[in-house]
Amino acid sequence: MLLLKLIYIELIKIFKRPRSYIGFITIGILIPLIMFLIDKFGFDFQQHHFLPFESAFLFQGSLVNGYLISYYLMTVLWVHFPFFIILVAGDSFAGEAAKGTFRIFLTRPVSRFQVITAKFIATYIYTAIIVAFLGFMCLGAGSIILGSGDLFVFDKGILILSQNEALLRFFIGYLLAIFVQMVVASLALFLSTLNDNSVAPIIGTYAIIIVSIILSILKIDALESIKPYLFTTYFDVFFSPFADPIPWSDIFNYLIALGKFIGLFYILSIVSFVRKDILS
Amino acid sequence: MTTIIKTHNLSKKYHHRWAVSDLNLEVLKGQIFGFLGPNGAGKSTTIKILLSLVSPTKGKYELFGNNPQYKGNSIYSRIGALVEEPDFYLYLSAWQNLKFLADITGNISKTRIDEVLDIVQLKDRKKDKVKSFSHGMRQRLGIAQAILGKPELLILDEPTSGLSPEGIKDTRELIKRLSEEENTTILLSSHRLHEIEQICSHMAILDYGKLIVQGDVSSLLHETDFFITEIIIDKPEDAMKFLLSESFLKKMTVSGEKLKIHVSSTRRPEVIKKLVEKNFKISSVIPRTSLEDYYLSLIEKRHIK
Amino acid sequence: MKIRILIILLFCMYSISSASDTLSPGQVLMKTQLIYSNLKDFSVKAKVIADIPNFRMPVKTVEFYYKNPDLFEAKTKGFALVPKYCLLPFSNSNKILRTPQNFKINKRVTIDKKKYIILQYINDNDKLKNKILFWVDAYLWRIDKINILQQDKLLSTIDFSYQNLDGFWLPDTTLFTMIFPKGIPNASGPSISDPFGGSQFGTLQNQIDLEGQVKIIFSDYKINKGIDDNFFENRNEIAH
Repeated sequence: MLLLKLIYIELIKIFKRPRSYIGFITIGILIPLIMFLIDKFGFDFQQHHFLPFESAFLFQGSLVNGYLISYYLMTVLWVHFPFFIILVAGDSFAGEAAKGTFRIFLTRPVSRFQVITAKFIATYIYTAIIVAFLGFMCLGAGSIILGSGDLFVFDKGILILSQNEALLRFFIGYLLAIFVQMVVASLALFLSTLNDNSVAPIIGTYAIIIVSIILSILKIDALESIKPYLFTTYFDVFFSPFADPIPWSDIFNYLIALGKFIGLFYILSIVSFVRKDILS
Repeated sequence: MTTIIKTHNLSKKYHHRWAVSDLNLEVLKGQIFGFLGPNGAGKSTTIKILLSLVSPTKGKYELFGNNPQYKGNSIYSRIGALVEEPDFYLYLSAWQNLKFLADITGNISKTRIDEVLDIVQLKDRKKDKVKSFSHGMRQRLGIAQAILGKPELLILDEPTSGLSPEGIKDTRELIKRLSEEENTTILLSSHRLHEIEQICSHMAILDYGKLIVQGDVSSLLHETDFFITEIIIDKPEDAMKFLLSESFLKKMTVSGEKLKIHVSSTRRPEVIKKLVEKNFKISSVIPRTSLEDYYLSLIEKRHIK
Repeated sequence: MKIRILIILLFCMYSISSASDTLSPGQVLMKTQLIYSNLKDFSVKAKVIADIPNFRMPVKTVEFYYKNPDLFEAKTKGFALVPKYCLLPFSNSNKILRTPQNFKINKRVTIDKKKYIILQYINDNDKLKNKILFWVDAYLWRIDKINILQQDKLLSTIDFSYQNLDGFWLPDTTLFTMIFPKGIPNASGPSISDPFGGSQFGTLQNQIDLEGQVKIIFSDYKINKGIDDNFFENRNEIAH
């Protein structure tokens, strides 16, 4: 019961801070703008990818629709989108330490373990909401501006998913994207417990993500052995549902790997925060 | 009497400096316990340890006979605290801030939130965001959150800092009232020595993290002979010259019509008698203690050492 | 009596057979198209089922609308890949079939006791030297199969099966079997190392030619119902 109250309080803290809305505002403006620009200036897509068919087939209808753009916009979930999560998660502990609010909060009958857990859960809820908002904006604004329809993806060649099938895949994809962003949030929260200034965990988390992505991308034999230990290696799991059939086994394995990172950052946060002296 | 706070060789080391060293403190139920010491003496660190904000390097402490390090934080539902300058969630209103704290403390009604806001005279501003509050108002809100749960133990670190004279007076009266009416035990850290002197029944003085002295205020001042007698007298300069020959008088000062004499209460009638016999006209005799002098003498002694 | 009927039948068969043996390419073509002269318009629903290696598309429903002489439109929800050539095997809808002078008889064959006249389309301007062969059923006078060859290499085959509706032979199922000389690359979706996916699409090619099929199953024909010209706003050029 106390934990629920703490989660509720943490959610109010998150949603009362202006920085929590930076992501929503950016997504709310940028996504419809992208859709509008594509509608206005086109998207050179179909011709390029259907060259092998051009001589024999007639393309009836268009594959450039809101779903296709939404699918490609999911790539922002690797590098760009985490910024919105980090901005909130990185400030969670460090911000309170800097402002001194822990002094009135932690002198109550509440354990630090409960505070950490509540902060993690509240940040995950925020993460889920903002990822869902991204999905809603992409698919919603995309459908309104560019229309909906079948989804063109690459999977062992070309795979065209029917509209209903695509929606289901998007739903699963965004659920997995939430899980990926939870890893980002967990890392930012952990670094936040180590600092009394929110700038350090924000920059630190972002730097770790960028470096890890670079290491995951580089095709160097020597790096292959460390790739399983980089959480970014599993970051593309949210594109897995767009394969046919859906590779559930791979997704499950990826989720276990990502879950391990979430668990690791959570435990490290507990160790760090429970022992932390609140000096400010 | 029940022991509310007890520390056993409590020590805290920051890097290479001992902020608190082998502190043995005991606060009993119902006491208003003054916690004195210069800046960096270890008062705030001790309070933070007692409130589990900082973990001790060695030693242990008990609150209500339990060690929160092992017994968990439920004990803090019986404690109200104001540590240094209170910092609230600035983007929330005064009422919302208190509601949060009430929710996690448990068993605190909304009426009680209004009640404490009324006590600290912030009821009219309860819907305003804390970021619009002055320093004094935040300090008052800090006191409000500390007394929110009707605590059995109230730990106040510089509670009157930043308050107006009127606010200081109100806070002082509130502390006295809580002690008298609700038998609340109060640990009060302050730089205002006369405040401690006026409010506290007991005190401890810390310097360089070490406990110098601990006991009830009047006994300490009495034992250590730090009583002042203020005499409103005609020709105070002459009176001072006349009394200089008396060997038992340690220190005298003149301020306007006021002659201040450091003299123990037992020797006070003798001094008055001598002055009357010498035809000095005395309009009033005001016995006072001087914690300030006592405090300074102790600190000076240690620093000379 | 029975003997007389048998004699008459044998005579007719001989006449037909000998006639088909002597017909010119233009006459053969005319015989295949004669039946459609009263076909003013029709609409039909078609299921498009693609079975192409490295290309998967859900079964799509397309509605085709045709109006004599050359209005054609395909409507579908979303996207569909519809074969460009010879979707409808009658001349008004098919430019090639309107040029009988470009045809010659390639050969006459009998398969499973069925006699075919194979017409070859000749286009002197075609630098690729495509050869298009039309297999005409010499008994029912309909085009049953089309082969497209490039430099004698078979590129695609179109097999028609028909249903007779209101006296018209209209396609019931059309099966397009085609070779993709370069194949369709086995590209994969976005990943952390290939953020937009399909990066190999332009470069990756299969070692062997891939054969794929597109089957179109027609149903629910509505014939000569009077479709307005305005309906064909986005007319499709379906056959050349």
